[in-house]
Amino acid sequence: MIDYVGPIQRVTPSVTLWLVLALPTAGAVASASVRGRNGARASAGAMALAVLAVLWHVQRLSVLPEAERFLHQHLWRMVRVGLFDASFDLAFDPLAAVIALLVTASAAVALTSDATAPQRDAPAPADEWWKRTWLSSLAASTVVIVLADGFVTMLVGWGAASIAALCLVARARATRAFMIARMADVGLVLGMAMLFWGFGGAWARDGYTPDLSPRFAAMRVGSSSETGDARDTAAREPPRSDSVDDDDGDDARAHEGDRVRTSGKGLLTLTSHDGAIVFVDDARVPLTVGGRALRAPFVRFPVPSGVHTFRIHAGGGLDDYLVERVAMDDDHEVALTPFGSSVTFRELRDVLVAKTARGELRVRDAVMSRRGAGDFGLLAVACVLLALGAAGKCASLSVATCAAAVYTLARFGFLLSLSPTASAAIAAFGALGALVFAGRAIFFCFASSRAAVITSVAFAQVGVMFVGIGVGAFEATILHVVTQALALSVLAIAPGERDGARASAMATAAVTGAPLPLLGAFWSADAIAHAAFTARGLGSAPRALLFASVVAVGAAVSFASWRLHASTSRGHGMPRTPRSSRLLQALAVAALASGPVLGASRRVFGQPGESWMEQWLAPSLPSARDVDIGAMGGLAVAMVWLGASLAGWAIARRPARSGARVVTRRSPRPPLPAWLFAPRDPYDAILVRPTMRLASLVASLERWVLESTVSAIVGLVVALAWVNAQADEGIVAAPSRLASDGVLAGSRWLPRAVLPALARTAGWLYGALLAAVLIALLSLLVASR
Amino acid sequence: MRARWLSVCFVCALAALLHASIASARGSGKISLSAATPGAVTLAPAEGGFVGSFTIRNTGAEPLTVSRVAVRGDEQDPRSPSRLSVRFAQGGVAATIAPGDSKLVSIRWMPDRDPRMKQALGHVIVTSTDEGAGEVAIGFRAQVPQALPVLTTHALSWLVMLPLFGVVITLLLHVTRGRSSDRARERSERAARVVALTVTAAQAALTLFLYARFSSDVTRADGNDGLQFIERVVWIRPLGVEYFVAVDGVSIAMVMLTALVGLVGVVASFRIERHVAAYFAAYLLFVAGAMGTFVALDLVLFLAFWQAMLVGACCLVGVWGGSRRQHAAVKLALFGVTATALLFVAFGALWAQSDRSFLVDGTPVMKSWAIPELMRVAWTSKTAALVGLPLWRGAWLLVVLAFAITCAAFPLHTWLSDVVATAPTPVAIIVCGPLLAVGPYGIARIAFGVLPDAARWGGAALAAFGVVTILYGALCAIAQTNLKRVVAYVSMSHMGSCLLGLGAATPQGFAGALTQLFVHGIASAMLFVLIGALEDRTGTCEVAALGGASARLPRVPGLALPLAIAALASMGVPGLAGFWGIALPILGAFASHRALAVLAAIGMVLSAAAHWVPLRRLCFSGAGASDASTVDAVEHAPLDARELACALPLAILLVALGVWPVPLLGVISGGVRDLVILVSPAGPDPLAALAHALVVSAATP
Repeated sequence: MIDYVGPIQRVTPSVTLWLVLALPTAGAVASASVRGRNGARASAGAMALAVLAVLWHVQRLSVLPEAERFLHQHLWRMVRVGLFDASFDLAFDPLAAVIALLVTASAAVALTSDATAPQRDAPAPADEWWKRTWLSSLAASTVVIVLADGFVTMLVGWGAASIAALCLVARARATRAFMIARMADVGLVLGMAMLFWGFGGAWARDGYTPDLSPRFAAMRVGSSSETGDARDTAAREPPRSDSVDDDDGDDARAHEGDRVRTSGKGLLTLTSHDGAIVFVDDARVPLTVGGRALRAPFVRFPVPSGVHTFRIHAGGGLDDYLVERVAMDDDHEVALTPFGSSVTFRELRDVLVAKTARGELRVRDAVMSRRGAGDFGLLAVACVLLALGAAGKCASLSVATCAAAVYTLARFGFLLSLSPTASAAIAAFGALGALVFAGRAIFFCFASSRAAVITSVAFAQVGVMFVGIGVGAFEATILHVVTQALALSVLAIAPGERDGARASAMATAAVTGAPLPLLGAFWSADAIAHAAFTARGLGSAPRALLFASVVAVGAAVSFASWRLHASTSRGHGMPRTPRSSRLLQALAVAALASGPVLGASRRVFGQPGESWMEQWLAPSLPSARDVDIGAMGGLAVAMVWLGASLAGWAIARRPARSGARVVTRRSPRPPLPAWLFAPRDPYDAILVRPTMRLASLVASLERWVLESTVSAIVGLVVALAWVNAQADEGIVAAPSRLASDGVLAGSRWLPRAVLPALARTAGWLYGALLAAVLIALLSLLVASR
Repeated sequence: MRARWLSVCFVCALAALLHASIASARGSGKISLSAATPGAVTLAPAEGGFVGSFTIRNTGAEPLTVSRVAVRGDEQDPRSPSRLSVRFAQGGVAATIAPGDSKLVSIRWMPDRDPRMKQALGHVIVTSTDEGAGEVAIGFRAQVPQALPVLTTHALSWLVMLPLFGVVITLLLHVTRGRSSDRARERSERAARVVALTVTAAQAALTLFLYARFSSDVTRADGNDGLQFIERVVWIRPLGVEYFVAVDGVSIAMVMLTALVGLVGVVASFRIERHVAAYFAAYLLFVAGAMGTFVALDLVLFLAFWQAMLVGACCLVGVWGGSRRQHAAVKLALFGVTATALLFVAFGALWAQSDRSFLVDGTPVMKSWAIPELMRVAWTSKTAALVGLPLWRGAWLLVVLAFAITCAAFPLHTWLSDVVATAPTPVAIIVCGPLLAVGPYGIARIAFGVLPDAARWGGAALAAFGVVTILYGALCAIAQTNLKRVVAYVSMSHMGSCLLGLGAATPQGFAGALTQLFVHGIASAMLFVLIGALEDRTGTCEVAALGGASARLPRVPGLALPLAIAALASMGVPGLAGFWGIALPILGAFASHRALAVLAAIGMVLSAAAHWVPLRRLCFSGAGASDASTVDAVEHAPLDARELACALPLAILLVALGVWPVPLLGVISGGVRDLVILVSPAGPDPLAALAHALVVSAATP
């Protein structure tokens, strides 16, 4: 009996995905082992190869039918305890492809820039190799996050990324980022635990009883009505060989079954529980390959058509599980899927979309009805925990980790789409964060370092991305990640260039980062704003607030970007080298073009259909809201952003005209530059003074509220720890201390006769000890005879 | 006259006695069992399996009817492996034996070609008409031939005895050390070091051998109580005490930990210069005691080994410790004696209320000390009381309290920080490794294994106790200024994770607790090795004095990187081994005690802060805050060969087990399953377990 039917994810095995992970790792190892220029070249080369590997897999994905755009590679089993089963599996779907390409390309650009920078000609400073090593490690661990098929692999990736980011920063300022990253781990672990137990177990009124062994269900991959496309495409495929490979290695297992589509055979898939054996025909005969038992994972393994009972022997101390009377039809795929608790994203999604014979989404309904904490739903609590975890992971602030954090949320899109509460919370959290950092960018950072401006702008953009996730505009958010990452890369590299190149690069970055109409990030920001305005499940006031927030943040980012461009484009850069300039130019072009190329809807150009990004991501984000990236909904919004950009540029250009020197170094408490806001005319009196007051207000808010809150928490913990330690020393340990002191002091002969002067009686004591040991040994020898 | 009457009475009494004895003899024969060799029957390879025999002799004057000979146990409670059969030589399981006659009974074990269970131990029960004797039994044993039989047959005895032999030799070296000549003394000290190193290296190699031969999927359903490498002989017959050692999924990781940490500790001990031979004698006594504690399955043997371990620890701290060593040693002794007293009372009560059983050779005993026998007692049906509670609850409480002292759970932890801060580095390593591990291990083995009903009763309290310990230990660790004390309180916090996992009583909880014991042992060992290295170079463990070695430290393949690895692993960063020890108990507890799991997760952050403060100070802060000479000492003195030999294997393990924990989690899976079946009311269905066994046998070619 087929238990469930649905558009569950069809998996395409791969044996080369590990390359995407291995190449950056090899780069890190090479960088650590080979010092100097060769090491730099090796790490940059390895990362470039990683980019090529990603591109190759993208090409593999693109030739697959949409329903099968999911490359999967099982590497090794990590843990199987009870029904908690996790393997180090890699998955490569369109969503992962975008972010993996972004991460590896960013790292490749950074490493190539480092390897070809002019200072390379000078004797290399002793401390550069470790930066490359940790940068490569950061890229590798981010790739693990992106390619993770489940929570556990993702957590491993996050752990490695935390360490790499920490070592890359390696300063005392890393404390807060590190601690926030650990708190984020807690959020992710608790979110995982909540989903893991929430999807399984018996939920009764008198309490919850967890499952102790996994349950499986037979799920037909799509019905005629639901997965018609997939079946059609499958039918169009050329017939494949039905030979059975004798090799029982991973490669053979991965390829197994992906080759037989003959009549009279059904197709069986089991991708979880590494090493599990499936018994068929009254559950007694194992499926075999070349005379040996076929072990999971396997995909579309041919099984004679008819009705079978399968017994899944997972091993590892687990009970076997019977899946009875499964009808295997010709050329139809049936997946044996863990039904209930799981830590694999794909399996969680599959059970949510699986329908019973009556067409009921029973599991989805059951999960949605479960309570997580108080009156809050299970999904809401879990999603909020996961979102907090992902947000915390942004604390280390690198392009890679921020992109991975947003990616993590997008990966949970299938859960967020079922939880309006969590979605609203994430959107509100994102809007608040975006406003705070946007305010920081325009009110604080006029005279501080370039890094502070970039940081604030980046965090503001991350906030916008959270809004995008919260309102269901997943594709737009991913496009926003791409455009912002490219802009930040340009900003990071540009200052190393000479005046002309730097100015143009900074302009490019500003154009890309600021949502100027029709350029760069406009398409994604516009779509997010539009989605916020039309979000379902929210009242009109929250929608308006979210919309206003996104618009305001866009304006602030435009202002700050252009002011940054104007104020830093006249410094003294390093000597220009053709190669790094070409790299920068290429990056700038990519940044500029990414928005229009990937985000513009064909409707803009009078053609029907979606944008390329939407088309590409559609198989990965089936639960996403129908939000057109190229909606072009807000002409007024575009004008606001354009005006803000011009204002920023104009204000920052003023001192240049008057010959004042731009302050670009960081100072702990930057003085307000009088030249920037000198009340020389009514314009200044109307605009600048209120702005300064507002800046002071926001500064106070940040200093007294945000900073104080964090400091208060830290202080509270330290104080609690101190009080705890004093209580431990003074109260808890007092009785034992009294007792031991009493023993020592009360019997004065004891310390002299027994402990410190043990040597005096040592002979006797050791003799007694020796005798005891000998007696024990002898008695054992006698006993054993 | 009086004498005559007395004579008559005496004759009458004699006649009555004679009549009674004749009548008794007339009613039934007298049964006597004997094997070819004294003790249990040894099954020898024959007929494609293993065959042995024993004789049932009728020593009475009347015929003896043997109604049944059978292997002890049944399908619901398989004491021995499957495919065992017992029958009379002429066939059948019943027979009548004429007076003075005897009959041969053969025992056959026909295991699969490559059986999971390499041994068969058990008893054959003989039921006869000899009512005076009741059910009698004879033990049997069989061993599948394997390579290196000397090692496989007595692997655990080697593990325990090797350090004991080391104790004897080093004590002899100490007693005979040359007092007059420096050269002779040096020779004696060098010999003691070589002996200790040889013994612990051999122990570690033997443990690897044991690990390679250990079948991880064996459970109690496979017979032999799920135990492997069993050695069982009668030790003190009048008291019913046996030398009963074996390993299963619960103890195998602890055995590996003890061997590994023991070896690391010996290498780290090479800097000890005072009374070297005596030091190694005490050290090896500790190692032998710890190893014995983890493999002992007889309560008396368990206590004996435990005492040996405590005596060794007290000597090491009291003689070779730093300042206030007497204070620390006395504290350790006081806590140890208290725990021993609690265990003594609990074990005595359990023994007194246990059921009739048999020693390994079949000798009947009215009470048993053997843990597998005690696991079968229906404690809830006993009416006796202990400390004002029903026996099973009272005994459970005492056992948990005793082991809570051992694992330094709040508020019984105050010995730990003093001992660790005072003890030399190698002693701190073994104290935070095997000594602490005995606590949760003892709770799992005895409080959960023997008293599962009580474990269900008190599981939530134990989990809460664990969470309090996690939070309290982490907060105390944050406030410490001495690196050793930081590790001590972090250890306490980690033991809280173990208690939480055990109290959760889920597979993930149990696995997490056992994993945490192992991982914490190696992480803390590595931390102590590196802290010892710092102390050697700078003369201090104070965080404030060590600060600021940093800006270039991450690039020096010296102290900073290994220290960072150890600290990050210890705090449970994903991707390193410590993650599993912290995350699995939280995951396991989430099902049953959600609030406790959340609190434990907060403890995870506090624990990270406790690690991070000194780590940042040492590795990542600026150099201005500290003494420049200290910085130089750290920065320009990377680990020497001895320290590297200690730290490198541990670092490799911490990283490798982080991404591939199967070698550890896989080997404990059978033990975890057994614990779950015992404790969890919703445990796996026995029928499903039977089906599992059937399928496995069908799948085996």
